[in-house]
Amino acid sequence: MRTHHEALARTSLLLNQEWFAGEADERAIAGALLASTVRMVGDAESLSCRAGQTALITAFMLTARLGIGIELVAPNVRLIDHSAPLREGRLVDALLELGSDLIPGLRVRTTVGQVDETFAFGSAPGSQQAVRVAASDVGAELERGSKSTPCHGHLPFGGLAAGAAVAAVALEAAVARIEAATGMIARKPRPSPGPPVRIRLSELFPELADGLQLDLGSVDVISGGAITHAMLFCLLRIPGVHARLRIIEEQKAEISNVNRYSLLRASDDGVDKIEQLKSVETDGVTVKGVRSLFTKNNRGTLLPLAERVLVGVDDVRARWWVQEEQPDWLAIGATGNNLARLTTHVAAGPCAACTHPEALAPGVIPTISFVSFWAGFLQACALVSGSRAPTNVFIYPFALSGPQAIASFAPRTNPDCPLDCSASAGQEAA
Amino acid sequence: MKRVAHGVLEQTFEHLRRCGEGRRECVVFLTGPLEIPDLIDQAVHPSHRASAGGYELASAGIADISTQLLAARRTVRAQVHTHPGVAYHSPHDDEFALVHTPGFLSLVIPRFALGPVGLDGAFLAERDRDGGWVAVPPDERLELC
Repeated sequence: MRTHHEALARTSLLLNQEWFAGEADERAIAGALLASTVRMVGDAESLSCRAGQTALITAFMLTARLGIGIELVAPNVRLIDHSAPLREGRLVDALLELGSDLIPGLRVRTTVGQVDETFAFGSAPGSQQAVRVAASDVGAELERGSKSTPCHGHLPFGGLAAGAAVAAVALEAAVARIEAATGMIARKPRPSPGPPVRIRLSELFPELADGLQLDLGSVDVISGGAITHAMLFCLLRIPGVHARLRIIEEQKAEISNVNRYSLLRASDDGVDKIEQLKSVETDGVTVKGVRSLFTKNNRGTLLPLAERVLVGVDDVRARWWVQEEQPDWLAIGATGNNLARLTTHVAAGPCAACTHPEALAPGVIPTISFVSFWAGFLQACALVSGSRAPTNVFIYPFALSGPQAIASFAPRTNPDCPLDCSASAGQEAA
Repeated sequence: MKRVAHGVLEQTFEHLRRCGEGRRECVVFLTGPLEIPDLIDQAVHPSHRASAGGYELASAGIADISTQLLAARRTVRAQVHTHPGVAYHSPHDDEFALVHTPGFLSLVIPRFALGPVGLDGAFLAERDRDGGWVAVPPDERLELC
């Protein structure tokens, strides 16, 4: 019998490092998360459009993976996108069913009780203290108060962003319970996840509002881990997308992955990751799994790469090995404890090694649902934006209410590039 | 309130930008004479390693700077470093600040200091008596002269 301690091990580790200098009892952290509850309320109009429905689904999925219980007060409207990890045809049915197969012991209910925070989606009723959640095609807003804004939009991007923002606020609502359980005070000052939160994805990817590239052709994906799960979760919800994904991954899913793998269920424990990912494909987005690792020595068996390559591996050297094969367009999703990052690379521009020059020390990596999600979400946005402009985006999901929580830079060549790429050599010559 | 002498913030941003190159964090110490406790009049750029996600001070570099400051009867009054995006104090920043004396200031500058020279968007933390940190508005602790 798997336990919530095992499922939340990486989350507890991260929170221990970030809030308690590594000195708290991680089992107590996991227990406090499981004892916390937030209410998610939605109205029929907002939940009947893709922006609003995606916001609730994403918020539910990411919050549940924190182990935080959810009280769902929403109409059981028809599901717009019949996509994994959901299996039922109606919204509430689908979320209740999903909630029963995530973190062991997770509480999901539709009856009203005590909660630590309330999120009111769109025009749903809510008190002055409720966090109002509004989503549009490419925007998201969280604000505390009684003024409601209906969700409206046929694209999922704003909803995906709103859902990710909600999960971080839900975690903040659990802090008091975690402090009580551990007998320790979470470090201060620490950044605020909001509210308020205002996200305009069109500022990062103008093409999302102006015209999507929906026919993506063949895309190679290095890793079947959390970032790829998030990317695919998003891709499956973009109407009209066609892509043939080849996912390279050799590991089996574990219960400790459920804390952040957007498409994974607890019942997938022990299944090959590529088989599980294959099981979520649709008519529009197909998945071919290759049970392998992309390494310096065996990459020859995996060539040629597709024109577009997505990389979500922790191993920085693997990013370099992929870059050495010079794909036309390479998008790297990466995370730190409190940071998600996207870099994209094209021929003659700063390469993956210019922007990711240092290999990480091996070890168990702390992770949390909404940080991993942002990295994959950014990859999906970059992919369907069709833009070839190199990007270097940093997002601080724990700090979304602060200025510069989403920061974008032009990638820079690195004179110390580990690959001595042509762009860095050109800089040295100059 | 500490007075930051004219030009020191400009020097600080110059170090942060030149060393960080808009792609990695950087750190600078703000120093002042022992005899004038409220004055900051120099920016010192210590030896360190850095990436986009953090920085690490070199022990030898810290020792060199300490020796030089002692000889000149000067001290470090604040530590300044950059973040790629939002400015705040991370656990690493809490742990690896140079000075543990109450009142020591730690200033975080967003966007690799590529924005305008100044304290807009900056985050300032101050050591409290318990060795922890409290957030303080930059203009309540730093007066730019």
